Amino acid sequence: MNFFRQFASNLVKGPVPGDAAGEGGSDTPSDAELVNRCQEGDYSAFDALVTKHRGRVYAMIQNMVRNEADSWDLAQEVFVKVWKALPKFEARARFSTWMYRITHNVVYDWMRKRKMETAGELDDNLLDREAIAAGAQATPARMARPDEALSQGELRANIEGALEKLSPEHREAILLREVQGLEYKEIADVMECSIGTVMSRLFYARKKLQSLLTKS
Amino acid sequence: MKNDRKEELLTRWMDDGLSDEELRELEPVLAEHPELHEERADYARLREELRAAVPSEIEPPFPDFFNSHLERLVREERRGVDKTDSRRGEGAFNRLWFWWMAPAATAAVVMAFLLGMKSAQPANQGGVVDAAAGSEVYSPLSDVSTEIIFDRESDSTLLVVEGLAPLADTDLVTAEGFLDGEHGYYVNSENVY
Repeated sequence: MNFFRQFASNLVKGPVPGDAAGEGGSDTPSDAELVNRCQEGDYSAFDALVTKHRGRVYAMIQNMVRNEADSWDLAQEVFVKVWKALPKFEARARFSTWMYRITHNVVYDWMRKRKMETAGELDDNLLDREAIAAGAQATPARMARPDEALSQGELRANIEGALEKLSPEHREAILLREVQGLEYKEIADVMECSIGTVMSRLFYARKKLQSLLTKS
Repeated sequence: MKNDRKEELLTRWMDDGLSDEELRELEPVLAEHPELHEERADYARLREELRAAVPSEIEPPFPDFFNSHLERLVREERRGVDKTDSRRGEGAFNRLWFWWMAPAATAAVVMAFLLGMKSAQPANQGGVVDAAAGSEVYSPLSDVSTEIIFDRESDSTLLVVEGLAPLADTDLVTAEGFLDGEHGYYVNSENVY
């Protein structure tokens, strides 16, 4: 009953500013606090978690799937799964790492389904190649100077092209490490493999990426 | 040195993540392959380019709708779980009563079907029926209201949007619609939204 009372009284919420990695600023609740409140049935806390993390989840999916509509639906699926699994979340890992792991599972389930539907190979060519939607607000890790913008457009196209040529595992390892900034151990947790496998994937992904970009 | 160990050390060397001891372990490899230093500098550049070009955050299109739609999904999910729980609780008691209630339930379903057939006859001559139930219209503007009207006869849907700023004549696509006083109508018979 508590859930529905909270649900009805917290329909309008604002964005939650603060640390995207999830530990919160001085005056914003940390992920741990929000998770605790969620576990007590407070939907407004869950909404705050969604607002805080949806950009990273959507970016990760979009960078893997390369399709705006599918990314939107898959991001919704991720958060529904997060909501369902939150009562069992024990905070042994950071909330954001746990959320990336759910994202990983949702994306790979989607890829498997697509593979069965198309009866094709599970390689990068199976994925659609739509660019990031014009309406989507992208936040690069570093802002470009105006005079860099033109060459960056070209560079971005080259990098996106090279990333698409990597296997999903190599691409995900690179994105988690270089773009999302996860530690090796966290990547291993997300991808459900050993740290050694993460190292190996990063090693080959970097080599392949460099060679592809040199060619282009 | 084993290949796995070499890959691990090289990967962490590229990330500036080696301890002094590990660096000493890797030194023979680096001495044997001096080109690795250049590779490392190249990769540092590539890392910068990757971070500049690939966004770590992309706000999903219609972010407020993202949250409200998710809330709806969670509510539906919750309702499904509650139903399953209540079904489980009823258990054996229901199975016993099923044999008593089955004939009555069948009769009720038949009655409901007949009543439904009767009430489904067109109530108004225009054949315009409000079909908003089950549909969802999203507008990013909070002061805009929408209504969906379904016309069975022409098998078409009318979307009425109230609260938009007035349009100039030049904004209207009159080639596929028409103007009526201050109102403009745009007719799209090809696309289904």
